Amino acid sequence: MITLLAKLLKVLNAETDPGQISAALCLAMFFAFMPLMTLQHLILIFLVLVLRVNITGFILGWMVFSAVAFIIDPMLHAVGMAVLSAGALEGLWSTLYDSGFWRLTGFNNTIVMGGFVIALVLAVPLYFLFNFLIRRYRQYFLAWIQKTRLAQMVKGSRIFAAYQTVSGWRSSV
Amino acid sequence: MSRFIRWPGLAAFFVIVALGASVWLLMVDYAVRHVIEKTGTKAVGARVEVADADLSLFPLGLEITGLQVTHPNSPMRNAVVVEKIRMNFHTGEIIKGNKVVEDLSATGVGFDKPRKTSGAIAKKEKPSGASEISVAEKMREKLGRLPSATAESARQIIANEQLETLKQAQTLQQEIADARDRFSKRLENLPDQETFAGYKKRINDLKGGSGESGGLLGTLGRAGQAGEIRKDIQADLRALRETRQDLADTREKLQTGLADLRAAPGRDARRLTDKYALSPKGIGNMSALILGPKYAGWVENSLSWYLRLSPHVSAMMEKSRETEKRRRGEGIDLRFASRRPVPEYWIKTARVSADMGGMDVSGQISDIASDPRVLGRPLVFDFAGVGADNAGSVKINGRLDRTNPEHPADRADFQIREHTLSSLQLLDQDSMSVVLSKARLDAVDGSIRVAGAELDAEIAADLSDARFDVNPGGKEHFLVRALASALGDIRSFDVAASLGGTLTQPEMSIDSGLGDVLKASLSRDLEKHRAQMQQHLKQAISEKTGGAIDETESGFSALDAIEQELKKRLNLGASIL
Repeated sequence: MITLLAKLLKVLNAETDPGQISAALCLAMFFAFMPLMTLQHLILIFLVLVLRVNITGFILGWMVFSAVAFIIDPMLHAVGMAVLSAGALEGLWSTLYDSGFWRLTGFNNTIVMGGFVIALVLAVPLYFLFNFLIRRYRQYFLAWIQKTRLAQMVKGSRIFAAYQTVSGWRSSV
Repeated sequence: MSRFIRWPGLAAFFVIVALGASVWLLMVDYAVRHVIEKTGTKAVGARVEVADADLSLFPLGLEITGLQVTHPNSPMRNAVVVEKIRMNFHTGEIIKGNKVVEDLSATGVGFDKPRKTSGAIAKKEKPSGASEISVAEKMREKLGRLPSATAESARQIIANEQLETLKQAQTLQQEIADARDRFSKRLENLPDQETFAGYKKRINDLKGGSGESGGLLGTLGRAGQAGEIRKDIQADLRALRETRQDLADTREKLQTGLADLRAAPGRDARRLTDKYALSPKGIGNMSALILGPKYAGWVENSLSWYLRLSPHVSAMMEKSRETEKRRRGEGIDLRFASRRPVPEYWIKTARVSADMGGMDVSGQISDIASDPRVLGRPLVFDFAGVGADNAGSVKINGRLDRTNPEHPADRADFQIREHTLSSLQLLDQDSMSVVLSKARLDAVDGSIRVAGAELDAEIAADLSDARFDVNPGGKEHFLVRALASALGDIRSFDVAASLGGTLTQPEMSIDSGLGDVLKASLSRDLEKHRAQMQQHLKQAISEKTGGAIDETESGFSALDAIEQELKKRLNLGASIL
């Protein structure tokens, strides 16, 4: 049982390169900023599983960004409404509206459109910001964290020992 | 490639998708059933239940079995039951979010069936100002009610009523007392015995003084004095005569009042008889009284279902989504101009077969849509049916036209031929119940029009081979016997009913040959009952008011005494002259 749990942790904590974690966090932002179940959620799950991104990072990111999405909900709605109401794009939206495929994306929903547009705008800057922050974290905070009593307790647990065995992992996150 | 691709993840994706699809397939039938029950219950206001719902993907369709819709006003009865509903969806439109049903078939539809358990739901509080009286109740009130067949005794009636006789007696007694006081005062100021004695003395003095001053002048002086005395006496007698005349006039007036007072108990008896007794005029439109309650019940039932369902089947206009109250995290689905617009909900064709009062009725409804403006076509229905062994037929057709929301226009026409009715409760009151135990509907023709909120309906029916049962509610009363006897003779009659006003305040009228026959038949009994009641009332009123009338009459004795006194004084005065 412990070995199985350790193997699951290994899968979740694979792909620990800062870029892979940042990519997972950006995908999580897309996932969380479009709260309704649409076609793009399926595509995002596909990308998270098939691309070498950090799954734990994705799950944690999804939780954090869901909370953020709830807080900035009025802004998502306002942005979505503005984009969908833009006169210049009316023809495009009417064409997409007649298509079953595009209707599956829920593009005509203000939150979905707003969330998508904001996530698209923030994705690239956030990717580089997360990379920077992860590097800084590893450089300055990790050694200090590993010395804390909690970290010592975790390292002394059987799960952690099994985890080290299955992953051959000796270093940091 | 493997630097970016996690191949096991591809397998994991398919496993997750397969698991999700399996869970969806396992849960979807339950979810659909739950949605139908929840939405239906909310729309109807009573429990809607589904035995089973089965969603199929290829072709995309839904089969519902054992649908039961509880009657909102009768929780132990189902308003509608449907054995099976099968519908096929338009897949492309479903993907676009439009619930378009290509064709729907409903079989085993039945109405007003008993339930095993109550289908009531917790009622929400009525909005303030909501009327406690139902539409049917208001209509019945307007049509009139059969008077209570429990005859009240004459004494009970007069105990609860103000009698005009007593009021009149009081007034007359006061008038007599006033007259007595007035004339007594006048009598005090009129010449009396003492006055006339004074005249007598003066005359005697005049006679006695004839020897004192002789001659012509003396004689002339005495003659002048005698003339003056005569004038004074004549003036006093005039005053007495005038008073006597006034008294006679007043007495005559008061005597007329007394005569009128003696007739007052009769008038009171007639008034109370009119109020309490039954008469052909008093019980109004007999056909409305007998047939009205049932008709009012049908009208109320039909209107309540019409008002309840019409927004869901034909006029659920799309609200402006931008103005909807948005819930956090949900957003708003905006609608865009489409090259091929379709309503959000649209059942293209629904074929229905139902059992209606022993008749197998089948037909179809076309274009049940949430927004008929988009469709540009009204909802149209057309049904026909025959009874067992081809006995009787029914045709119903019509349209709900909401293509122009400013001018909604709905209509329905129906015909029934040669249909047998049985055990139809027409009247159910405390005093009596009337049941049409059997009858043959030779022909019924009806048309109903609803323009906006305005109602206009006409129904004409001919019935034959009718049998009525009249049962007394409590103690047997002559009216129950009379009605039973009258209805027992009626075999055929016609009914003409109409409906006007508005959907929320309908005005109904009903007329039938039944009413004329009943009136004619009941007239004799009612008149007899009326005469008896009037007699009893008159007797009871006389007993109650006799004392007051006698007391009033005794007031005249005082006036008689004044009259005697005046007469006596006049005689006295006249004897001097």
